[in-house]
Amino acid sequence: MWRRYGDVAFAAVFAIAISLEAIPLCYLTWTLAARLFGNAGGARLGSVLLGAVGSAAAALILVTTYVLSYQHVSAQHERVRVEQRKAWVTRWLSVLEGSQPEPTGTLEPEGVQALLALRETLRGSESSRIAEILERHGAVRQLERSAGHGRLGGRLDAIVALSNARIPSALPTLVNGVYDSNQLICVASARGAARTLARVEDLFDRDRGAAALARAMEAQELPYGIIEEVVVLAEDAATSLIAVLLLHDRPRAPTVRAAIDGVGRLKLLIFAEEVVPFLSHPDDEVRAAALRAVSRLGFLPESSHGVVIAALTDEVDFIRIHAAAAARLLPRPHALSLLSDRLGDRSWWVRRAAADALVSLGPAGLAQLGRVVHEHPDRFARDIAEQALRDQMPNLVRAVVG
Amino acid sequence: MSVLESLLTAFEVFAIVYFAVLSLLYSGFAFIGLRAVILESRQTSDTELRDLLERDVFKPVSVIVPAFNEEGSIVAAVQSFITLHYPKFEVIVVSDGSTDGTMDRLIEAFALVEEPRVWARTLPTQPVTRVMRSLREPGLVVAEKTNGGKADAVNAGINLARYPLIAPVDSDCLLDAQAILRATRNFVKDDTVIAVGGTVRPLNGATILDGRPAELRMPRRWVERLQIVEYARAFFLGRAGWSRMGALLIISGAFGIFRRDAVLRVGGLWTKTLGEDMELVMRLHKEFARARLPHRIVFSPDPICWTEVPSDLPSLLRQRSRWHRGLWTNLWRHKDMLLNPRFGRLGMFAVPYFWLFEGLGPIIEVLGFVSLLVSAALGVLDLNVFWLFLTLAVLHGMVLSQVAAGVEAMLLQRYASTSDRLILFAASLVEFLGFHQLVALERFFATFQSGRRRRQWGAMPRTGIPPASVPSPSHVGHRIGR
Repeated sequence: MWRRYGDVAFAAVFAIAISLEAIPLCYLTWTLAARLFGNAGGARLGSVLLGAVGSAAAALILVTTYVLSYQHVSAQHERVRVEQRKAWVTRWLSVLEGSQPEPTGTLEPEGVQALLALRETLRGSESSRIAEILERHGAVRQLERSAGHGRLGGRLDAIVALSNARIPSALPTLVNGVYDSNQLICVASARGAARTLARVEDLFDRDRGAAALARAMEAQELPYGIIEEVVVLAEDAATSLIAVLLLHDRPRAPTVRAAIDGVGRLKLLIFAEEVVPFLSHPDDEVRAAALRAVSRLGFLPESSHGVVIAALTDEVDFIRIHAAAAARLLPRPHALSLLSDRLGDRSWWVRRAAADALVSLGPAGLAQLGRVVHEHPDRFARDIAEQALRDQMPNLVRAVVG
Repeated sequence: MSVLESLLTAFEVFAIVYFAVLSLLYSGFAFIGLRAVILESRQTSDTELRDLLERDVFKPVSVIVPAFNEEGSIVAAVQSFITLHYPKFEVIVVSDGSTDGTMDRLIEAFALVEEPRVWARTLPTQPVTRVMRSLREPGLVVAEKTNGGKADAVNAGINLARYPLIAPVDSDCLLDAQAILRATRNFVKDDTVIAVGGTVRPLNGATILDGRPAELRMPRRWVERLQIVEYARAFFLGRAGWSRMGALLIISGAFGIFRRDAVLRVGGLWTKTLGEDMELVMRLHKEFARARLPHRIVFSPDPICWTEVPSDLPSLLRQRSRWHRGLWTNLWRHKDMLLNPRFGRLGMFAVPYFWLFEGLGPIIEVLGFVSLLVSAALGVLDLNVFWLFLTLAVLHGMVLSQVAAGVEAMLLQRYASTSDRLILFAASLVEFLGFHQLVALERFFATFQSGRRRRQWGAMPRTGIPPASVPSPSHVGHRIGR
């Protein structure tokens, strides 16, 4: 999308241009204000304006020269870079095949980038060999150094590169980055740490890394969306991460919500029992997340039936929506009857969720919807049931015709 | 010195000070905006976007396309929308009582069939006469309704929307394949974000291939070229700067993404203004501030929407008149925000700025120019001072335009040839040698028509976007504009 070089230099050029313009403009304003009160003459104004025009012209020349040069240089630079990248990818593939020896010494930046691209693409032993090459040539150390110090842009680029490399030894650096006061560095590091954690094979190291990452995210009070993303990015290591997040002394509501949503998204049945108590959590969002999770997991112990039934008539609309989805896990006759009632809910979205839940119950649910179309006293319930059945027509036709 | 001369001198001084302050403010915004663009450009990596797509971490979006007599571009636009790179979205086209072949084109291109449908009528709108579903594109819904204006059509689309995020998009626009993905990223990163605006770039002159601009070339008409400079300055510097300061007042009606619950909370779009995009943003700010709910409305330069801009001067002037009338309607409707500390930077800085420099700007500019001419004619003003001041104004505008052009040069998809780059430079000069003054004059008159012509749009002839899914035999695409 963007060229990630030359931008800081451009900002510096513009800063100089602004200064060239601002100083005479401030002076001009001052002169005019003085003139208004009879303290300065027209000749003086003319010379101030002349100075301002000269400065503005200099600023224009400066900025235009930079833009035109940038256009020219960047086009050439990119041509060269693409060629170099291609050559390096070919070379690395030959190295991996064993038809060419590994280069020695420090790698060129394009060589590192080509390796990182291959690391993302290849799997198994070849991917592991790439990780070894990156470490052996000091590329990981170099990236770790760049991630910790220097300009913001350079740091972010290094963190993204480490995130692509997914080298377990870089995990502590990335976790440290989560503590950074700059939000951009913090979020990029959290994502990188999660991706790296997914590649840590030693279970002890994985748990330790997960605990460190969870502590860092809690300390930084990361928002719900980011924590959820980190949990999902951690792949197999998500269980370690979720365990720490849920078992934290006093977890924040966004953290719990993200962890529970992670359980549902990744279908981690191992946490099914842990999610259930959150069905009665005082925070609405957490409760909704727990309802979503049990619905996705398809697990609702008998002891929690009452909680879900109560949630179906909760005052908060979105709780009723998620409760409708979870109600399909209740014993069948109960589910059919309760969901039919919800088809007459005051919120259109709850009605729709109840209809969808009935559809998900298969033939029994569809039959119930059919009965509602003819028998339900509420017109809105009849309408939504009819709509849900109509929406199913293409699926039914596909099921019959193939 | 006569009273007239004294008055003229005082007004000139005021006008010059006004210009100086405005120039300083513009430069400040431009710098903040440039910094914001630099940071934004580094925030979202390709890996991050790939992860979002692969791992299901996203919020589904309803793309709402209001259309009125858009038979020329509607098929291509819808094709571009349904091929967006996003895992879960629907496209809802709302034909707002079109009298041309808009519906016929859609029915033919997407095999639409009418279906009875139940939906939430949360927002009051003109009656929806039929809802159609595509047999080819499962995510496409087309609704036809009685004419009620763009805002009314968007409200009808919101009623039909199923997903938590809504993205109203003009039907003469094309979206970058990743536009929705990049914009929705902001909602995932920060729970308090309720709306995100993207960059709008002129499509004129571009070669379209498979529903996306493949190559950017300068259009042949200067009116179009000048707008390329204007749009770059407005989006890359202006809006980015306001957003960075937490005081963004406008999300372009051409493309923006909103949390549906937030829009419903404020009662949808107001149908009685020509600037419904700005009005909605102002109302969202107001409502969330009133309820003391944490909220952010942000501009993100990454998601890019391409629009066909007016290719002749009369259409352009009508458009600018409409925008200015909309601006005044909105400022007047929300006058309680002016210098109101309850709205923080918005009330104390952004709204006053819009009153003083955007709303009243054309009046001061036109009167200032006239008074300079009169003073020069009467001999009150030194002619050298007059010419120097004009030169200074032109140079300052050119610097800002070149900075915006510089930001554009950092985009991977940019005007690539040196000749186009030189034309951009020339456009930034030409803009201030008559064009800018002409637009200011139109806005000057529009100020006094705000009350009378509040809902008049005026026609805008368009070249139209060709059907995008059928590349031409030579596979060279189709060039927009003449």
